[in-house]
Amino acid sequence: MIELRDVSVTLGGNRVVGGLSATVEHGEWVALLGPNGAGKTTLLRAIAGLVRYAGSIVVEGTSIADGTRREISQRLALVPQQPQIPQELTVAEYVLLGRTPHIGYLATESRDDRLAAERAIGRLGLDSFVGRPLGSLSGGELQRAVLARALAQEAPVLLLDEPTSALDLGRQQQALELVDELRRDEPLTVVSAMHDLSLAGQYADRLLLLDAGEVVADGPATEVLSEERISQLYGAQVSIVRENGSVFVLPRRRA
Amino acid sequence: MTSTAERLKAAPGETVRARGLPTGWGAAALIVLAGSLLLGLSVGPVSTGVWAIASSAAAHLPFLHVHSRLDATDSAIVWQLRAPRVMLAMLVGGMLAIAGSAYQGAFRNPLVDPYLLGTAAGAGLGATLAIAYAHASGGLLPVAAFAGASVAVIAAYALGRSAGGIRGTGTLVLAGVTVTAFMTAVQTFVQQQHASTLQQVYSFILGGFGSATWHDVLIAAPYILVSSVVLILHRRVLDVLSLGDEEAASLGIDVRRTRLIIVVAATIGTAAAVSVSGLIGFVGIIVPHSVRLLVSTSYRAIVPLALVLGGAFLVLADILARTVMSPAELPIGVVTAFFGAPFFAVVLRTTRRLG
Repeated sequence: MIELRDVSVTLGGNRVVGGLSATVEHGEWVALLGPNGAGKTTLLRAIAGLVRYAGSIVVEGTSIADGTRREISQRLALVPQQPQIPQELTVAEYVLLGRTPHIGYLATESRDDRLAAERAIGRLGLDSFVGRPLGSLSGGELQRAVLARALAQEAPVLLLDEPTSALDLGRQQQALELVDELRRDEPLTVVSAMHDLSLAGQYADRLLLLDAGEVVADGPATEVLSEERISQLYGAQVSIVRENGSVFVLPRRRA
Repeated sequence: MTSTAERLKAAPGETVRARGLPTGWGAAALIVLAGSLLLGLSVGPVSTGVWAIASSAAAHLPFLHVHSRLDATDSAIVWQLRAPRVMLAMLVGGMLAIAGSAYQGAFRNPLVDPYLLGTAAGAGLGATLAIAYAHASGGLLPVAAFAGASVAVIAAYALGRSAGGIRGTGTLVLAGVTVTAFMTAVQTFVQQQHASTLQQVYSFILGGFGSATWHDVLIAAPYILVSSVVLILHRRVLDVLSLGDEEAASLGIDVRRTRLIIVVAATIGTAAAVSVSGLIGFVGIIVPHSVRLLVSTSYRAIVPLALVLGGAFLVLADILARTVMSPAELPIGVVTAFFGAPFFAVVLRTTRRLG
């Protein structure tokens, strides 16, 4: 569970997140939406304790400001938008790095850590890739390796920054299905910044629409995704298609 | 790669492993080091057989009761002249190589060497001041060089911190360049004012082990040992840092503190090495990169292997330095670059990696 109270972040003199409050329930998947520069990534980084913020961020009952880096990373796993990929590290070695919050500062991983990494690798169907260098993987395989590393962290909260931005249509769906499966099985609380409104609406339980660092709409896709709101916020021309309880946002060229 | 059948047989927790330090490479590196040490002890104007030296070394060990096959003169040559020289070359070579690997990991930049933060310029200035104003030689020289190196690094770090904030290792590198430029300028000025010292200053800066004594070994060894142990303990953390500051932080590493510890450890060891041997270039770049190309890009292999092979490399380079033009000596920096550069070119060309 994540509780944000009056959270503000100022970067380089600009207020990127301004007095934002929101709650993410245990086991819930909340998608952060909004145009470029709305503060999605910065909010994720604030929750992960990677930027200075004002206000209060409480994750699993403890304030982020009170924890050491190690304690925070035991509660939160973050998948950045563009992870650094050391080309020659093997999948096994990369996923094992996800165990860092559980390994003593100067120690090396124990059998428990190897077992946890092995579970994460199995969970993401990467068993036959353990010895492969990251540089030899395709985009979709790489994305699964990154998710496996985050899963190996065994943190109850998973933060995803644009998890599908580098993937094709099919891989996007597969990746999001996978996240959905994982969060139901583990169970995990998921907060993801997303660009694709239709996909976000189908996978997340709740959408948090941000503009200029503030929440402008909060609720299920059917409520949040309206033609007027999206057109205005994104400066885009869209049609909203509703079908079997799902909402699809279709970009249209101005006539 | 393991097949599915093999994987099913493997016990849980056995399929997912970091390669770490391959045993074969570790053993090979130690054998190369031992071989180069024996060679270093036996090569010289007075020829002494490798076995005679081995028996003499064994005779020094307690409980073994081996009879030394060296006579008293030969024994003195080997243990009072050659041994400190070989030991010092091993310690300095190992230190420069392990510090180079640590700097490259901490700054995520393959081109940085242990002199990055002004260690070399500071040591050079310290030595020059000591020679020019205190007419120092022998005992005081290493102390002055060590002090100069420490001042340079503290200045570079303070400047980098105050200008760069938390992130941006680039600022720290620029601070090192700034401090180096300033200290080199001061050194050149002092040198010009005291032209008579040029020869002595120049010979310190060229570096070498020609005058090595057990005293030098004892001065440098404690710093080098502590520094090496600290760096070896950080080998896994260096792999985490290879994911970048932000991801390393999200995995629970306090990046700023960790980088400070690594840089301080590497710098103290380097300063100690420089103060007893002068400036020896190229070792801190060539040895870690050879390991990277030949063995693994994981710091779990690079850090310990750089220590052992860096020691062996400089012992061998020193053998060449004192034999190629015997009885004259080549500056060791000339040897490390003259033989090291072609060797590295061959490694670079013959290893085919990804991409």
